[in-house]
Amino acid sequence: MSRLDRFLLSEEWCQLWPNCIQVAHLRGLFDHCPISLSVDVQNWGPRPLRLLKCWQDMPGYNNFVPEKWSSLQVQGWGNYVLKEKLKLIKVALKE
Amino acid sequence: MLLSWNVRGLGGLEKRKEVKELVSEKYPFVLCLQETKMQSIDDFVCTTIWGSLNCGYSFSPFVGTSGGLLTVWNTSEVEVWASSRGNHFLLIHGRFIKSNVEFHLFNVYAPCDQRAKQTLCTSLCARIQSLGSCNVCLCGDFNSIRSLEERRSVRGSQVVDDYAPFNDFIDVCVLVNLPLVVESSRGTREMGVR
Repeated sequence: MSRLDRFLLSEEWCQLWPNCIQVAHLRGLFDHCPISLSVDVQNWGPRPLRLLKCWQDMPGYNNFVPEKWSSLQVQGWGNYVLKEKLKLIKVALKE
Repeated sequence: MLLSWNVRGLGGLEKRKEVKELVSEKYPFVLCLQETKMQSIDDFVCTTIWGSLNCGYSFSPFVGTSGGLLTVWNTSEVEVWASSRGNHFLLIHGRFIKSNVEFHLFNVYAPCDQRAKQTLCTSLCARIQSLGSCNVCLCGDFNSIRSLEERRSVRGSQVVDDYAPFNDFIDVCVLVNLPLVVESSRGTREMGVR
């Protein structure tokens, strides 16, 4: 099936509803499927990373973080490794 | 939610049943249908696809290559102030009641003929630009693809596509083309990034 059906939006529309999603609903044996445009209220994107400057004032912080960071072994593509290491270091810091 | 579907004929009862099923499943604010292949749409036809819910509608008849367009909206969610017919498109202007946001929605069915398609793009562009900066949404069957990756030919023939005019149209009108998420019984996947 070619992608002949679609939604096109003005920039104003996208600014008003930045998390719009376009979904093709495959059903039956039709050669065109219904396409929906909806506001994805669930999806706010990845949670941002929070770092407080005062953490650096804690004794041992400056050694702990780099040591822990290089000791963590995560397999995968770059962004995944970064995400996982940030998650793991958060856990380690809490302990 | 807004829904768009090229139904390839709305005359048959089976097809209407299918549309009604979709409507009761998704409960859209607006439903835009292309290729109704019907010369006229009346309250009865609308009831068969929309059920007992309150609705308003606007249509453009099936004449020659225009295929026939139908836009139906839920009157408890959407208030339509004006509707106008263009060559190969149907435009409604109104507001979403709960959020009180004004919008213009084009229901489009582009012809296959390359020159006629170009004429449509030009007239759509002029119309969009005349609206100024506002919330504009176009949906429908544009009969055009943006790149070779969007082509899935069942015939396997070497179709030479000229997608430059369609891409120009999107650029000139400063429109945003969202990635498409495909939802099927086998799960969801994403195709065609902006």
